[in-house]
Amino acid sequence: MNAENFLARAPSAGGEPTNFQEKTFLVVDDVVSMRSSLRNTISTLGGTRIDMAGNGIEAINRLEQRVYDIILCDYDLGGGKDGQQLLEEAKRRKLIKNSTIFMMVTAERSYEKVVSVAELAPDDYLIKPFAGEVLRLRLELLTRKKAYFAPVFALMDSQHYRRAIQVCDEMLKYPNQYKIDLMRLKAETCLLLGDYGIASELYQQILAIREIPWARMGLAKAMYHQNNFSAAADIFKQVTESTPNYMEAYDWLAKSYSAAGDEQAAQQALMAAAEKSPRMLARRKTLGEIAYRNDDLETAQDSYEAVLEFGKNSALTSPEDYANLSRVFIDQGKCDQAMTVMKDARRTFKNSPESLLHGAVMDSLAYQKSGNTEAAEEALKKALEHFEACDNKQGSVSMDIARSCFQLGDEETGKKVVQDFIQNNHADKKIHLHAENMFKKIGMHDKGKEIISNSSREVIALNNQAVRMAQAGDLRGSVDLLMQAVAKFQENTVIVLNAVHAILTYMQTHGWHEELGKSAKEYLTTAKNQDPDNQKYLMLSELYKEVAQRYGVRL
Amino acid sequence: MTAPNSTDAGRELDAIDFTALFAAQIHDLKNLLFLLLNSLDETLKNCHTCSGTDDEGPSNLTLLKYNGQLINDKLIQMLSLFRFAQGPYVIDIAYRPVEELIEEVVAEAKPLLGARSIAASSDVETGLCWFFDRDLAAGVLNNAIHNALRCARSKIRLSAFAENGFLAIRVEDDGDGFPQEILENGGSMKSLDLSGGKTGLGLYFSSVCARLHTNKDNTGRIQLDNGGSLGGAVFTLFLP
Repeated sequence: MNAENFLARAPSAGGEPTNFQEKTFLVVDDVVSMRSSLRNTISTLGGTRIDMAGNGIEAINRLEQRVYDIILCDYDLGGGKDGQQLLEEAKRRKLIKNSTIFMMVTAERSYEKVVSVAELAPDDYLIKPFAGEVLRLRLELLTRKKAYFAPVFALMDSQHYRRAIQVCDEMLKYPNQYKIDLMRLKAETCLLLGDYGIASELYQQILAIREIPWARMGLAKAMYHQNNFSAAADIFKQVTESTPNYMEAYDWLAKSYSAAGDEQAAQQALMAAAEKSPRMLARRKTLGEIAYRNDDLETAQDSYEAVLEFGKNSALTSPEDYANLSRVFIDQGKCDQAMTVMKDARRTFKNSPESLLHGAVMDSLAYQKSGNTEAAEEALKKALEHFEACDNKQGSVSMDIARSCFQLGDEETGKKVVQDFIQNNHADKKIHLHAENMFKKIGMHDKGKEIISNSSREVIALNNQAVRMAQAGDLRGSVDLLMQAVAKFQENTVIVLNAVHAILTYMQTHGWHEELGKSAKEYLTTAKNQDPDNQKYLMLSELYKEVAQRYGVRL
Repeated sequence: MTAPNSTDAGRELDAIDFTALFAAQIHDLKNLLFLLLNSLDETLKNCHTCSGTDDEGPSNLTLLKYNGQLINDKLIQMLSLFRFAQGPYVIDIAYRPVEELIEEVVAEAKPLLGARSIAASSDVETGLCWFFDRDLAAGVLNNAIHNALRCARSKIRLSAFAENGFLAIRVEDDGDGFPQEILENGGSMKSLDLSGGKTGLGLYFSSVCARLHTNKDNTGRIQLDNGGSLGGAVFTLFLP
């Protein structure tokens, strides 16, 4: 694709009028008269293929059945989901294509203030009342904008991030109205790929032109990724003060405080955010975790209860969320409530294996706390059976099982569970904290520390040895060592990805190697399944493509 | 008005947070106005279809529409000032073509222009882009255009250009121009006269919206003059 194509595509104020008759519309509004009014407006533009939805659930059903070109959605959808939550769910589930126009409709700007700074922003918003002509103008502009950005988004969708950046660069060579959008897109992609220096530079360029909150945020994110946590925290704090509705800033502020080791400050930041925007489930869950680690059981209870309450009917909760609340109740000595919560979990998830596992282990902890050792042992036995059969042993369930084992005197099994958990996540600070906290709770603080550090010792040693070999120039030796490590610690995403990195580095100097290339590909798939959003995974799968391309290997 | 404080109803009324209540009601009013204006558009469209002509429809219906727009101006101004006062208010700055903004406000005013047989022209430097808050800028310009419509004889003119690090957007008409006291005080707190019939809210709102736009050491402002290219009132919005 060459630059002339982009120039030709570059929008001018005139442009071809859009033929709305060909477009499919979805109107989402909880008020009947408003829906029909919007339908009228669309039909004055020539639109005929118009579907309606009265709430978020109906809208999702529609989106599952059909691809829409244009979605007009009221922000305020009565009870249940609001327009922003609908947008987030639809995007997460990929029910909306990049070419779809999502237009938020609202009667008031202050709503929009929350919306426009959200990470998943709508393409545009309209404030009621608006004239049909204005809707037409907006839709035409958006259609042209989508067409302009289509080549970049297509590359990003197929995860060709480097190519996407090159295309942005091409487009940036010519003056155009989307200059700032292009710089932002490029900077965000650089953040994704770990090119933090370039990202910082871009954000600084933008900030030199104009003070914009998202650019300030971007700069701080780059700092965070370069482990400059306290400087990043200062900027995030500044953003929350100058732009109090920029909710994402609170999350990053908390993340930075946590990374710098200040869990109290992290909790404060998230509490401020939860107060402003109580329905954000992911944030409340994180708040619950931090508060629990900080021994603030009251806040932990509030947070986990909110997760269950707001997550009702949304398919956004998991049995783990119930277990989190149940654990707080157990620590508070409210054993009946702890068990009732897990009963709810089993009912809500129709006795799914995961809900039975979490249910059994929480029951066993609750029985222990209330002094019924026999029932506790029975429940733990059941829990271990479910645990054995469970493929995905991620998350807090391992720590609950271990706690129950230690408390009931089965040190051997408890130790084994902790060992596996730590070995598979040796580099995850949060998981270490979680394990340490569990040991502290059962009065095994020192012994627990020893178990934790022993568990990660082998994996750290292997990893370090591989790094040293690579540094000394023995790339092949490093590859072999890490591949052995993968065989042993298959579920350790960090090790799996380090092996990929070693293989690719080796092949960069020694040429493509059929067997190793195949392993690297397999490892990438493993890592993707374990942690789809892993940043290093994205970076390495890009590198894999580059190396393959360099040696003319077809993928 | 005196509240019957000794009664239960009085105590209940005392407990109401009227600022919040008014804000919520304005929100609802805007929804209702949207329905009203839309069914008006529908009716106007049917008139066209029945009469087979392409004119702007019966003038009384268009007048209705004009007044509806004025009501909306007021609602926007009140609600926005309320939100500004609640603070901290963060404007939604983005880099956009100025031409798009002008096109949009002209499109919005088109039926009203037709009804009063007033011709609008616009002159925007091609490719001129700027950082501004679209809704606030549109609110200011809509208000300026509605004022101009009231005073114009036959013409209004919109223009936009960059000047000394500011974006200037100008609305001119060929009417009698601003009265002296508005030229002197328009847009200041002094112009807000809540006891009289006309409050000057629109110009005050415009001035606040302009001032919410800042860039480094520069702050936005509005400027009122008489004369200009059409010999009437000249309203200029300057954004840094």
